[in-house]
Amino acid sequence: MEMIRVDKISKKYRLGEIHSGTLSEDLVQWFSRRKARRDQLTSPDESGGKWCWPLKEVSFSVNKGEVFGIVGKNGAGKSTLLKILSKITTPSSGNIYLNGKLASLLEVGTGFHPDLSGRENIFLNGALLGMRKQEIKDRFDEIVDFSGVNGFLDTPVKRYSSGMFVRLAFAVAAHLESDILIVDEVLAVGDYEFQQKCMGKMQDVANNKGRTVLFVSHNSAAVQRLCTRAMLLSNGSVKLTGSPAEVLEVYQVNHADKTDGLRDILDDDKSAYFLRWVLISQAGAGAFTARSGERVAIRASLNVRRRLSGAVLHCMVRDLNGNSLVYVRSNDDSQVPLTLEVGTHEVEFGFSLPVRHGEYGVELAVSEPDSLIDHWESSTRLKVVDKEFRDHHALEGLLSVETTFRIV
Amino acid sequence: MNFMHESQTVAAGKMNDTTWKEVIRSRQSFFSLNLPEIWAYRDLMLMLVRRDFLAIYKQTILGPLWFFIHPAIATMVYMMVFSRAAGMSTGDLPPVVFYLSGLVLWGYFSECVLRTSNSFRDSAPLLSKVYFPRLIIPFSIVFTNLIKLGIQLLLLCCVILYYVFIRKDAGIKVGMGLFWVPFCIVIIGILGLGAGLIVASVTTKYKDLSHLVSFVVQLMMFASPVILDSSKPISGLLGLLVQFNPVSGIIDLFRFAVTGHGVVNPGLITYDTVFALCLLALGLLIFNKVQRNFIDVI
Repeated sequence: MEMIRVDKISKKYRLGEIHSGTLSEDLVQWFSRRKARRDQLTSPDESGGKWCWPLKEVSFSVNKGEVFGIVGKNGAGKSTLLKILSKITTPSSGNIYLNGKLASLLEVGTGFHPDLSGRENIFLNGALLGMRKQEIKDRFDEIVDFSGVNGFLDTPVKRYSSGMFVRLAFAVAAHLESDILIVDEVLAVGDYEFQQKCMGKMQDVANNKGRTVLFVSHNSAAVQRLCTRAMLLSNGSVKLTGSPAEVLEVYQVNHADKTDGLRDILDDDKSAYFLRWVLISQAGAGAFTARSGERVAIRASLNVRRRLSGAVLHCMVRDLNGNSLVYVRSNDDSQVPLTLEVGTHEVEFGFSLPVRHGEYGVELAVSEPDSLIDHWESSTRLKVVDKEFRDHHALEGLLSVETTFRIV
Repeated sequence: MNFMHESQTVAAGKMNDTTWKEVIRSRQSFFSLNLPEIWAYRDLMLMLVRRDFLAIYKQTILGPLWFFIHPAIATMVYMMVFSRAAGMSTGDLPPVVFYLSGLVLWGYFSECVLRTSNSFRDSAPLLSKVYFPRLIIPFSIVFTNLIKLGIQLLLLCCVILYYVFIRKDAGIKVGMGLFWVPFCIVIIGILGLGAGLIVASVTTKYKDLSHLVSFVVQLMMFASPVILDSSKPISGLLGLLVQFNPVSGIIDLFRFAVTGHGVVNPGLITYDTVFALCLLALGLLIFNKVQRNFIDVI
């Protein structure tokens, strides 16, 4: 039986200075937006700046009794997904269908009050997780047994060791009577023995009681052992759903930053977009390493899906602090507008990089006179090898150029 | 082939739509207020009230005695400043009764407004980790304060009994008027909750408002019968402010109910009641709108 169906969930945030947090600045912004709308310069949605999508059209479904693992890098959208599933925030679009009561354990000890005793906190925490008082009473002994804090029930929890604290918190949540349980990274805390106990409990919950568990973790071993199915999230979208072994393999391969210059997420709805880039240097084409100061070129593949006239292509190299170092535009030295036919084009941006040893970010964009069509921040880094191999130091300056000193 | 399969799934999804127990949607009606859900979490509300009580007075010497000390000291200060030093009238009532009766009810109102208006921010760590109907928090605040008020009414009771039985010359009569006391408390609670909800919703985005609110609430007291004797006409702008102040009629009514003295102005009381109900309705709507996504903004 299907317990959860997530149907094209997206979440977007506005980037930049949208909510300054003070009323006066917001009013100024509101007026300028209204003015812009009246002048019909921009549509109301696009005038507010860039959007960021922690989740984009995520869909999956989980059946009864499954332990469904969700893996992904930091920032892949796991936490956002869990927050939406547990109703802490709402999706910007899409629906979620649930076939039962859902309880989530996003953090151990949520709502524990340090001054209250263990006993009082069991009731408080249970109620926070949606249990009725009677339910907690019925399971009280079980909870205390599982946590192993018997002797300290009337001690304020601020006097507990961190291990006891975690054990008590997990015990309450594990005895929740819900059809779907969401667990996020809680197993990362507590000692080994208790971790084993928790894993056993989760397995037990899914196998014997037929409850459904959603488990989010960085811990590959735990996912492998506990889960019956898994999903890999990457940059806010589902990359793969399948058996834990299959998903973990892809996850571990992709865990490192990409080094092949390929773009992993494509927006099909754009009328033109970049596919990949490589560096052309003396070391040859296809590498991503340049010697400092040498003449290099970034060769990029651009897919054009409708005829573009008056297009401008942009290429920017930034240091890891976000400073723009090089900015090349297709119209830098020619006034003739660029016309691109439908198809894949290879373009080259030439420059030299007299910078220090280190890694640099590459951004590519294509625009029309009145709009930005595609902007891609590649996750592949451009590496620069400096001749002198000095330690990178903040005082050293960005540039690696010949310097001299003399007394005149 | 592929296409057909896809369209079948869509159709099945639509058919199943009615059988799902719960649907989380990206959009929700502005007026949807899930009362059964709030009722299902009533134990949590009681638990939060309990927590607030237990936690405040753990590791204190005087414990719940602080409930008495607050209004007692405030009453003494007001007696000295307003009654003695400034020579302001307290009508037919002894200053102690006058100020204490006003302050007890006023304290309930201001605590409700201020604590509710900070409720989102104060419990943000909790709200960002676990879901429960968000309205539970403001409700628990109003209830916590209701219990505090109950304890403080005991103090008022003692003072009034002293005047009724020992200092009979003050002419304080307690009678059928007492039936108005619950009404006053309910209206003041609704007023405080409504105002608090609105402020709480707006302060999630605009934090500077919380400074303004504590200031305005304080000023409101000075333009109310808590300090001013409404049996004498108040002229000018201040008089107008007192008229508009939505607690004025209720505080007068409360004072009349417990002492048998003072002015009862049915017009003002009706205005206060309608104002309170409208404020609560508006507060619930705004809070309900904001609560779904406030964790993204806070």
